[in-house]
Amino acid sequence: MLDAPEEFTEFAGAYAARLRRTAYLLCGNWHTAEDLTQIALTQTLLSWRRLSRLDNAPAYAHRSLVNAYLGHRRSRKSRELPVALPPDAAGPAGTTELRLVLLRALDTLTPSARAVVVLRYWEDLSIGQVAAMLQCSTGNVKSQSSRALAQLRAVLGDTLLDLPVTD
Amino acid sequence: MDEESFRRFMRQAMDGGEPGFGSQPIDGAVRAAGRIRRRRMLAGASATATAAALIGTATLAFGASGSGGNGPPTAAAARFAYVANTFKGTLTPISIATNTPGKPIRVGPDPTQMTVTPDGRTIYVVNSASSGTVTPVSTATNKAGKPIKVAGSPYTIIMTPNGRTVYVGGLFEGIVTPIFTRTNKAGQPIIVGGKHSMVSMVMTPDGRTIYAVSGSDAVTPISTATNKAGRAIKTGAGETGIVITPDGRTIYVESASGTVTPISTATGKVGKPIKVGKRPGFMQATPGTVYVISDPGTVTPISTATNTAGMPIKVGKGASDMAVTPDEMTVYVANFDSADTVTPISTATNTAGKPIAVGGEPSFVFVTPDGKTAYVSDWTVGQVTPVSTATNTAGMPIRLAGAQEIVFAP
Repeated sequence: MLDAPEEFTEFAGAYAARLRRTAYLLCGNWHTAEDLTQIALTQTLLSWRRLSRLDNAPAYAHRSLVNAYLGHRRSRKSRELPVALPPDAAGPAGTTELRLVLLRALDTLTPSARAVVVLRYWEDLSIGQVAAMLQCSTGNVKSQSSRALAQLRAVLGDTLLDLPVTD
Repeated sequence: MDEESFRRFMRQAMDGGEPGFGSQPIDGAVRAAGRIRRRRMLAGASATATAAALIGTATLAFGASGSGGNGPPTAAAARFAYVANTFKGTLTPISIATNTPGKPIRVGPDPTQMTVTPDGRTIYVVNSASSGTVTPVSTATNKAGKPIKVAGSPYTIIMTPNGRTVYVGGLFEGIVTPIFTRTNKAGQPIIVGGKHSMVSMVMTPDGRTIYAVSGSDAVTPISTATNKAGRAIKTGAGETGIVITPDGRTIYVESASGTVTPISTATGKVGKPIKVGKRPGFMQATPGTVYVISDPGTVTPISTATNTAGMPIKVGKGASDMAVTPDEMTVYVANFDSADTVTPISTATNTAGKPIAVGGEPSFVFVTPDGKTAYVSDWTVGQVTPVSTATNTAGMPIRLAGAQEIVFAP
């Protein structure tokens, strides 16, 4: 039997949702998020032979996703509007609004700062991992995330105060 | 607002869950799985397709293994290593003498495999799957020409020794498309069957016949004189990888079941399958021996005289690619996930030498036509590391985002 493709199917099944959410935070709408996820999975599949020998497929898929996002942004003159009420908003009441607030805040960032923020605070990658993924220095990641946080603070200030502390 | 409160805010806004375990619609995953099913056999082909690229570039373009054709450039003529930056859609020339990168050349989306004309003037770059194009790049001006549209989803590439025709293998369609280099126009696609895997190709040294596998239970010969497929050679094992001996007498095909099968190019006779390790990957042919990477971190030498497997040679974990020096004395193995190393194998003794630390995660390895340098590319960290083959020591890595395949040209 062909075990490697089964492994990829498994990987894609387990990982697509995660990629899609990260993509959503990057681009702000599910439609583009889906496209970015497809690109990332396709690229991962193309390199699967090399990847499947190690546990590096998630990293490759993420790298592809972020690159696809940054390439997508570069290739567009106009900015995406983070509007479109997600038709699939299945979270508890209230989270849709919160999500739109988040997206609107993220949309004030440059694409690369947004990528830093999403990878650092959503994917919980280390500064070194983010630097490797974005092919820049750790200093660059540090300065981008601190600048981005300052900007998000300005945009989000009050919203964050309203948050219940969950833990 | 500190980092932690923003992190918490993101979690709550996104349903409070961990990334990836939320309530997103599943349709995308299903669609992805659909595509995946169509490509069931692709996985086994990726590395072996690179074999076709290697044969198409290093061997045919530089005549390292006795290819025919009209005057491949001398080894000294190769002054640049062109690196495909797959994530950036560019090709970067690196000066072999100084190891300094030049200005990136914009080609097309996801450049993967490449081949060089025998006169070294043009590199043909496949912009994989999505765009359906092949871009010619002039090595004199380092400028990309007009993309050549081909049918389907091109992925693999090989060139005749006389440089007149480039053949592009599809990813999903089981087709091979010729491109005539005089006009840079694509001809009629040649159907080789097997739509479930990318087409991997090798060519006989005289350039007359291409053998293609694409995950079906057969090997299809293509006549380069007529650009027609001949009668398929039945093998029965879902072949995904192919390699040809330097003398052109035997092709070896591999299947994911862990076997490699010899086929005589003179008679089309299929030999007995030879058992290698699990999940055979990249294959490399040298005179007398075919090397096959397989799990777990081994390279199995197959004697082409007896068609028997020798003792597996232990290399690093995640061995992913191999390149042979022009004198055919050493095979370098890139160990993707094993302490960032490249392992030299002596072809005289079939023993592994001391692993060479190159840093990062080595994924591809290519040896310059003069045999002095092995370039190791690494898409994870985004670098290319030169290794001196005289001393087996690594030089300073050259930073290049998304570095994958490499060809050499004047």
